[in-house]
Amino acid sequence: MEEPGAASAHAVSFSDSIQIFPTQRIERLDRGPVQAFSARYKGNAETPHFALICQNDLVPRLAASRKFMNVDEPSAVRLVASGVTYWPPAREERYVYVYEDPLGTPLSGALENKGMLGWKYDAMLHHVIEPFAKLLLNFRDKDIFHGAISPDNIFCQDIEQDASHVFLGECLSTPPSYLLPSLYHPVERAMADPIGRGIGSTDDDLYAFGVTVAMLMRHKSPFAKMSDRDIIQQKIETGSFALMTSGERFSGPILELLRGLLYDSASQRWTVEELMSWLDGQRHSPRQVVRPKKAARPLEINGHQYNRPIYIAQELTQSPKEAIQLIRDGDLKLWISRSLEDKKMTARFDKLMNAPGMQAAGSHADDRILAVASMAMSPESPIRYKGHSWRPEGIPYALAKIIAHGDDPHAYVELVNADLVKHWIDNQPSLVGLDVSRILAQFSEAKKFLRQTGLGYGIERCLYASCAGAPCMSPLLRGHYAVTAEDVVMALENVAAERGADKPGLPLDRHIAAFISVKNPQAINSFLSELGAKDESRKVLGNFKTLATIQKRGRLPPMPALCQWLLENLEHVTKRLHNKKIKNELTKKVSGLASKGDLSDMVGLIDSPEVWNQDYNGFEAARQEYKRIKAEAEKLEHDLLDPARYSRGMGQEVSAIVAGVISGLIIIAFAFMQLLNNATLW
Amino acid sequence: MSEEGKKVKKKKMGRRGQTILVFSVLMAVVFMQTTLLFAVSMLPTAVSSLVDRTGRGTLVITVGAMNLAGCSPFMFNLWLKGHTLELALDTIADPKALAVIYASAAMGYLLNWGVSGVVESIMTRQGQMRLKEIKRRKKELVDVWGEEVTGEVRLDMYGFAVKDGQSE
Repeated sequence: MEEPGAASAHAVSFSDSIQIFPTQRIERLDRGPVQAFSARYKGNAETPHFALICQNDLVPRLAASRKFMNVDEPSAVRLVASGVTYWPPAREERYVYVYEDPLGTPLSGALENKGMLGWKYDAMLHHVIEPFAKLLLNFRDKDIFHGAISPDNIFCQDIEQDASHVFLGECLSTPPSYLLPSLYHPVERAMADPIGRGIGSTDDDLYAFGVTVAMLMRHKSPFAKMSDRDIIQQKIETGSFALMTSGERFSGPILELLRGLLYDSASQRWTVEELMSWLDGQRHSPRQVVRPKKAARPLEINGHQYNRPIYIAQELTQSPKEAIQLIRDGDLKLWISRSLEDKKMTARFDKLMNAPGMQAAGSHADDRILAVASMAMSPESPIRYKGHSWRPEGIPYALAKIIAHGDDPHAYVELVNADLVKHWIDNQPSLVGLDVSRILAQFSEAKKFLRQTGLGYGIERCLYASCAGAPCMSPLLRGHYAVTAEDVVMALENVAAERGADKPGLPLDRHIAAFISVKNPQAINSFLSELGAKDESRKVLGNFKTLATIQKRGRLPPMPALCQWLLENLEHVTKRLHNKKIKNELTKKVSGLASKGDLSDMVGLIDSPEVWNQDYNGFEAARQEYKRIKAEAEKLEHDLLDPARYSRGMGQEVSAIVAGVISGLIIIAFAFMQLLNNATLW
Repeated sequence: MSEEGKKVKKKKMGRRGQTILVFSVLMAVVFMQTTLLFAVSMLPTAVSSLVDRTGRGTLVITVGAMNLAGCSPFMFNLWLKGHTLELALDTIADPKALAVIYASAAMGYLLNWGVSGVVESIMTRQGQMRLKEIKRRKKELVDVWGEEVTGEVRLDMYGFAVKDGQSE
């Protein structure tokens, strides 16, 4: 492996104190598609570190990251930092986790090399069970679901000589349980697609821990050659405990531990307290296990015979044509009531089949019926719809992957519109470990969002509202990884600077609007009607106001390129001004401000009520004046067609006045003259 | 006569009018010399009242004023030289006097014609100038506020011209 110093020239700076070396891959620390690279932490240069570079289609667990940062257990890999950085090999921004390197290889490597480890009880107890039990207690107290406890993710420095330093690896760089093999899941989670498993509970971690202990202690493993389907089938037929201990000889205490951790029913499974009490030497008596019901006569689907409803639930969606025939003909219901003789299941089947809207015609009617039929047969199994198999908590991660890949999200839309999650929850025998109110609220909200087609709603809003860690997946921000509204605005500034003329008309698209409305609703909600308006000028104003609000509230630096981008659209706004002088003056002033990069200043001018009122009132006055002078001109033109008639009245009045004045003067003059003559005579 | 015509009653003179008429007749009899001279002198004015088509009596005023001015020296002469019937008849019979009086009335007609012409010319010029000014102002308004100000184009809800195919 190349020394960090030699490659420092190619190092990627992640925060001020961390450098990541893209040329120094550490394959042993890879987490599935998430690759590991050497890193150096200036605050602790002696200890090697590694960085996990997340995949953009797999949403990392940001909410759990904050909790994980506070876990200070020697047996857990220590998270040093996390955040977004530009990753040169991919030429895009990525989310990165930086951990202390446990300096060991995953135990799965040893399992592959040696077949099995066959650890002894004492070594297992002191190096794995005791420290991991404390760790699980810590996780439980901090409300952390790890979801990745398996030999793949447990590291040991020198397994041959000293297996005393055993570390549990990370769980944050991929969606919950995404990388955990089916063997390590209880049946109901194992049946879900890896992306759709979602957040589990401490019960699920305890189960995975039980399987891990069994795997590390076994001397031979029949599981490597088994498919996931076979493993699930074996667990259903024999139970997890029997499967994991088959063909091996375990000591009494370990058998007790494994029985406690590997109960298939979560309600029977040991809690962390029971695990701790076992470590303290307390013995626990075995619990009565109820095996899944088996029908007296099998049901044939697509040439195969099934006698357990859980298999039929799976087969229904895998052979939809045959299955829908069975349902429509009533054969399936008949089989439940006669062969299985399960009254509860019959009632559940009837209730789901007759749920509001379930029998409504439409192109998805068959898929909907198959989904609820599957639910009725096995309520604890994941929701199965159109080839997908998701648990409610995993659906947001699955949706994120679908959208990141540009796949068709119709399965999600139909699933939400058909209320399948609500039906699933209504039919759960136990709601332990499920945040029911949150899930129901989330999907009820999603249904509302899907009904609204305007900017800021739709499937994009569903994604960001349900999957808090999802970055903004706008095609415009390809190459950027924005997790906050401020990140989006900063990324838009880069897009504006980098893409020049090759960019869309306006910065806010459906994804960005939906993302901001979830991350920073105060910045956009009051402008959503403008953003969704048909009128281009209102859209532009909405863009201006939203981005300005985020820039101002987030105290972001000047953004001249983004200002220039918006300025290119200013014409759409100013064309709504009537007065050309005001228009030109406004354009000149706003253009002058663009180079300063302050969107708020620009909005202050563009959205000034003074300017708009002045324009509106002026326009109204001008219209009135135009109307008045137009009427005056028409009258004048008409009058001037016959000037004599037009001026006759006035001329005669004037002549009358003139005559009157002249006459008056003459009469007065004669009167004086006569008076003077008479006076002379007298 | 139609039914309606029968119903229209002839307007009777009022008490005040009757008083004035009686007083006027009395005065005309008392000052018969003046009445005689005035009646003969003001004949052109009487004629003008028959030919005045203005409806406002401006021609009568113009002619009458000038007629009265022409008649005034003879009237003063009558009043100051005893106010006799003989002098009144002499004045009426004097062609010179009548020529002066009627010429002054003719001046009234002339004044009416001449001043009307001048006023017509001035007013036509003023009207044309005002038209020019209106045209300039209209252009100015269109230049500043756009075609929308004319009221001749269909406007949308914001007061802008609706383009073809665009809804209001």
